[in-house]
Amino acid sequence: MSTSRRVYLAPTLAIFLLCQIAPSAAQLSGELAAQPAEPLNPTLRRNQLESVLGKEVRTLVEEDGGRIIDLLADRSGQVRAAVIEFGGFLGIGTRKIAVDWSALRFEGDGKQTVVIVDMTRDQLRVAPEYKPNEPAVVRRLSE
Amino acid sequence: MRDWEAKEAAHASKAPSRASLRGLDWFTFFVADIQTGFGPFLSVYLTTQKWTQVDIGLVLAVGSFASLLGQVPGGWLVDWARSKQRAAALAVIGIGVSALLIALAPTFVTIVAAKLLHVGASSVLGPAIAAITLGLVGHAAVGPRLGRNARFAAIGNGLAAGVMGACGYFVSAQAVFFATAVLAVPTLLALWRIRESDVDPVRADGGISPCSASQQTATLGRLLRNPALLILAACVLLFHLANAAMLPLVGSDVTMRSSRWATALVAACIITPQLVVAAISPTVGQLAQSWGRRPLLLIGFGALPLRGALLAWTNDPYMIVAVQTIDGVSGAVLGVLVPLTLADISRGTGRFNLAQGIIGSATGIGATLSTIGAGYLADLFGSATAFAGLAASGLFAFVLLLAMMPETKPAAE
Repeated sequence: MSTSRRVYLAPTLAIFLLCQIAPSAAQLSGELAAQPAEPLNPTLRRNQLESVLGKEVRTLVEEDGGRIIDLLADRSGQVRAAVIEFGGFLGIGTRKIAVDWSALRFEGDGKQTVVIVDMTRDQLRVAPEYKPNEPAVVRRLSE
Repeated sequence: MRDWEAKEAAHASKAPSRASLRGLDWFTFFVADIQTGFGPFLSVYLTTQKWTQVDIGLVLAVGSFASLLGQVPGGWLVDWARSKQRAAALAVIGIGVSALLIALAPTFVTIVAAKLLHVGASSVLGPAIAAITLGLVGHAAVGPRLGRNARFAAIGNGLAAGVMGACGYFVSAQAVFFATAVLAVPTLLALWRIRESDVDPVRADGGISPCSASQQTATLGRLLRNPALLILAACVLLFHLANAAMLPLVGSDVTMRSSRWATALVAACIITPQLVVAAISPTVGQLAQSWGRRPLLLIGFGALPLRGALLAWTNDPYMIVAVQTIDGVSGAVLGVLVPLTLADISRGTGRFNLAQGIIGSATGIGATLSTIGAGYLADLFGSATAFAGLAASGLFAFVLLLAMMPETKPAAE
């Protein structure tokens, strides 16, 4: 009983779905014809891109400089600063600061990319605390 | 002689076995160990797992909200459970499973589930330890025994903070949660050593056996109408309103002010108070028998505004570590005297664990508001003002205690 019902149901459903898809499929092919078909981003291979969220940061003299926890972009979408969390113990007493994106260097050491902030730990620790609700204070290297 | 007094007298002759008392030592030690990773460290771990700040904040908020709601039902459940050990064992298993979930599958759904599991298990485990203690030794001897519990918990806290912190720093944040799951095994073994026959379930609830429904509501009313419970709850709320944000603020200050030794100094700020608690808790438990509860509570509550004022005054990172020893005095007093006072207040009602749940809620509300308030003050006026504000709340708690809190120690002892 139940199998026979399914046999009838399947073609009915297929026809119903075809009717729904047909007009949008026609629209889609029209749009595709306007643009030349091309694979997306052929120049970017997998090992050339890396996620930066949660990435460890080293200071100028190879000290532990914390971790990138957020990125800040301006209205044009350009990334301007990275929020770095550092210090504390067991997550207690950490500080967050926003560092100018240009003050970060990404250097490859064979397999992995190392993020180096062009500051010393002493410069990092006294930087004003980053507050999400207020304009971020961004430190530049030249200061 | 009332009914529950007769029952207590009958049990007084039955001394718990050495194996059970040893088991309780190790149980309190390991419970402190398995709770360490679930604090602020969870957000460090989630950061390493590429979580966004929004998601981390959401999970933490869900956790603290659930914790506020869970304390009273947790305590009620421990009162209701016939075997306190079984309730504690399920809670420990829950914490172990939660740690495994966190380590193995840091997706949003699993972390929320693990967080809720941990919150539920903790709301049972906290009262269950005190219930097992009271059930083992009875009211007459519970003060010194709570002092001993606080010592072992403090050693567990201090050691776990050091070891887990080093593990997170040198190995990986994930390893901390694997270690937590593994440590659930010795926790259960220690619990196993406490003999079921040594823990009197009636005594563990604070007195009478639950008989009829009408009697139960009568004793519940008697507990809730006790002004001492409400005053203690208000004092504890204000205490944690002052206390909870202090250590994070201290740590952040030390991180800012010390270059080379920041990590070690923040660790010292966390571990030093635990050393003090381990050193003085048994004495606090003994003194509670001879001095009574009130003078000790006043010392513990008085130490907090003093600490806040000193922290507002000093900038030197080494001085800050020294001031943190005062936290050990408050820690020892609250760790011993709060459950002891609750045992006094709930005596004969059979609602000891519900009373603990109520105090647990007060703690949670105070701690949550503390973080929000201190963050606001520190943002606007700097950390010295935040410390002063926290000290003011602590002073208010002290004054309320001084003015209103009665001595709860029974006259006969």
